Amino acid sequence: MASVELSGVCKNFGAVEAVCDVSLSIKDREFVVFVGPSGCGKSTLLRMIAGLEEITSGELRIGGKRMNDVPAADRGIAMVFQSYALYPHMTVAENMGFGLKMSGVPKEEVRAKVAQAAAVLQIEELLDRKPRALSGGQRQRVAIGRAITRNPGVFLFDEPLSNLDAGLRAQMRIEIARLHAELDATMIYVTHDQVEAMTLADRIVVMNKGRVEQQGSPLDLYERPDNMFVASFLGQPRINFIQVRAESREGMAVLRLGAGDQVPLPPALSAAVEPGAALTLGIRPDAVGLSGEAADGSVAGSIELVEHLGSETLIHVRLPEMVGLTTVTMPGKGRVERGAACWLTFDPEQILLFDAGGTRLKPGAA
Amino acid sequence: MARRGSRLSTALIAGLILLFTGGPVLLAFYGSVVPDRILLDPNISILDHGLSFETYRYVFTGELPASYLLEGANRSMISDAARQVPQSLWNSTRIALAAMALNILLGAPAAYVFARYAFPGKKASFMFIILSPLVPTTALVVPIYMLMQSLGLIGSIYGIILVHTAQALPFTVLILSVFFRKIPAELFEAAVLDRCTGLQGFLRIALPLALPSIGATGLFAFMLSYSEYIFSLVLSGEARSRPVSVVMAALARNTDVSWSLLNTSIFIAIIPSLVLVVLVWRFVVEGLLAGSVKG
Ligand SMILES: Nc1ncnc2c1ncn2[C@@H]1O[C@H](COP(=O)(O)OP(=O)(O)OP(=O)(O)O)[C@@H](O)[C@H]1O
Ligand SMILES: [Mg+2]
Repeated sequence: MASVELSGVCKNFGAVEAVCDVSLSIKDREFVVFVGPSGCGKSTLLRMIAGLEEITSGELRIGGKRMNDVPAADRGIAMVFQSYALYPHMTVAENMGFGLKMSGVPKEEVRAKVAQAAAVLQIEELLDRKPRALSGGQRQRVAIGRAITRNPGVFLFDEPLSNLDAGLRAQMRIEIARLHAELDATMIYVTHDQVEAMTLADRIVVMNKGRVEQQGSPLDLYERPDNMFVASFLGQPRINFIQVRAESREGMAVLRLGAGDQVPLPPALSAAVEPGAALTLGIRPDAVGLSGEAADGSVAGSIELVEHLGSETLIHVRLPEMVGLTTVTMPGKGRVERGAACWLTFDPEQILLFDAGGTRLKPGAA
Repeated sequence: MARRGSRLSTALIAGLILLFTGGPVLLAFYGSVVPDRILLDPNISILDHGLSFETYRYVFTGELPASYLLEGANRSMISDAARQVPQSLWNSTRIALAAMALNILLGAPAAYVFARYAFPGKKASFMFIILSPLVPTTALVVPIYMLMQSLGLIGSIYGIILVHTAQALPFTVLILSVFFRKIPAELFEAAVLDRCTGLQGFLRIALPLALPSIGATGLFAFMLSYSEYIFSLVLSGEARSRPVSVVMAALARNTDVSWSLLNTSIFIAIIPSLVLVVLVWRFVVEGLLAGSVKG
């Protein structure tokens, strides 16, 4: 049993408040990913769980036991560092067995455990090498192997894949997902790569400025973000934000864009909108339709930039009187011309509305 | 073209450096194997007489060189100080090795603590250690003499060992703390998770990684001690505990001394350094390069 519970956890570095009032309850065997922009306190939070950083206030429980003052080595956790942190003067086998050796485990048993972990990661032939004779991906495997030999209840990963190239990263991502399924351990994973977060997590915790912005399953956060910060953080390409003003037309709310185009809202959302309010419309690129002709509720613009990715095409459209470009994704290799006029339609079911403070308007009863 | 030019200038500069470093050593060797009357007389060719190792024999056994037994030879040119060279060599080796060992034993843990831990007075104490070599040595001779006298360490090698250790320690601490600071903190955090105490982190992680740097600083301490003169002179007292530098100075000060005897002593005195450099050179080079390359 290795659940992890944080209640009201704070961390101050002198005057800097790195983590502030974080409460989380992580279930046994859950895969939780912390995401957020650089400097938001992800690593600090992880290091507090690991015991590498003292907890300023609040409480940490692992497996139900209070761990605030328990030494790092006794918390039943293992950590994989971003820089791998392998001991350069030890062989791979020594690296992996070092923790057991320091815990007084007999040599034979250490060797057996190391061999077992090496088999899981398919690095048996590397055991006699020194870290400097390994590639980045192999070092990463060894670092994970070192964590596995300790047989922890909780694995902590701090951006473990950020030093790998894109191909290897995708491969290791799958590997980590496989390990999670095999090892029956709780995993807490820090990244600022939202693809890793979306694919690996049972639950994503989005952090900003030392606080938890929102937590939930990947799809939940993707479809129902609490605010603009979360909405913009998840999803690739990023969500479009368009400044609009709410108006009333025949008893229903519509959104007026700068140039006068009007976008109708579904009834549920319409009920939540006050006429006259300045709002931000959020719409994912894949929920925008693009056509060469005007239709009811479509918005006129002109195509400014086209990116062909092979399997899909990104089209960046300039809407009149808007600062940024609006991105549209179309499957396949759509033939569109730069500079052409076009009309955008927004899937009404996927429209997100945010108030002036950035909080999402929840659809009310219709 | 440019390539050949740069190679040429490299060779030229290397040659110049060699001339100033290796030249004196070769001259000393040359002077030591050629008897005075041949060395100083432009009319006698060296090639006619061949090499002579009589002065070496004198230094180690006390048997006078044949040339000085000839009638009319100036016996005063044979200085007794030359007979002290073997004992002084032994003294110096012990002193320098002890200073080197103490430097590593005291300096490495100190450097580690300065590099990795915060404690009250850290900055001030580090500054004190680093700046202490700026005090002119001569200003310290009298106070240190009095200190050693009160400790009863005048006339033994132990007082000299203490002083030489203290002289090299600032450099040892500085160089090693720079190295320790370069070891990524995550390595020690991994060690903490692997159940290492602070001391084990030092012994099992930091120390093995620092071995080349420790070799380099140890060699440096050895050299500093081996060539140190003023404290060695003041603290050594009688012949029994004199280090090489003091004996060499005594020889050189004797205006009548035989040239070949002086050169012989010089060459013998160089040998321990040469041996040590050859043995430890690999460490020094690696140690100096270690900082620039990330493990
Ligand atoms: N030892 C420290 N002393 C002072 N401030 C610190 C210390 N460690 C972290 N901080 C501060 O705490 C905040 C959170 O840092 P943290 O390393 O947790 O960010 P992060 O979310 O992991 O960022 P990144 O994605 O860049 O790794 C930052 O503002 C950082 O400057
Ligand atoms: Mg971080």
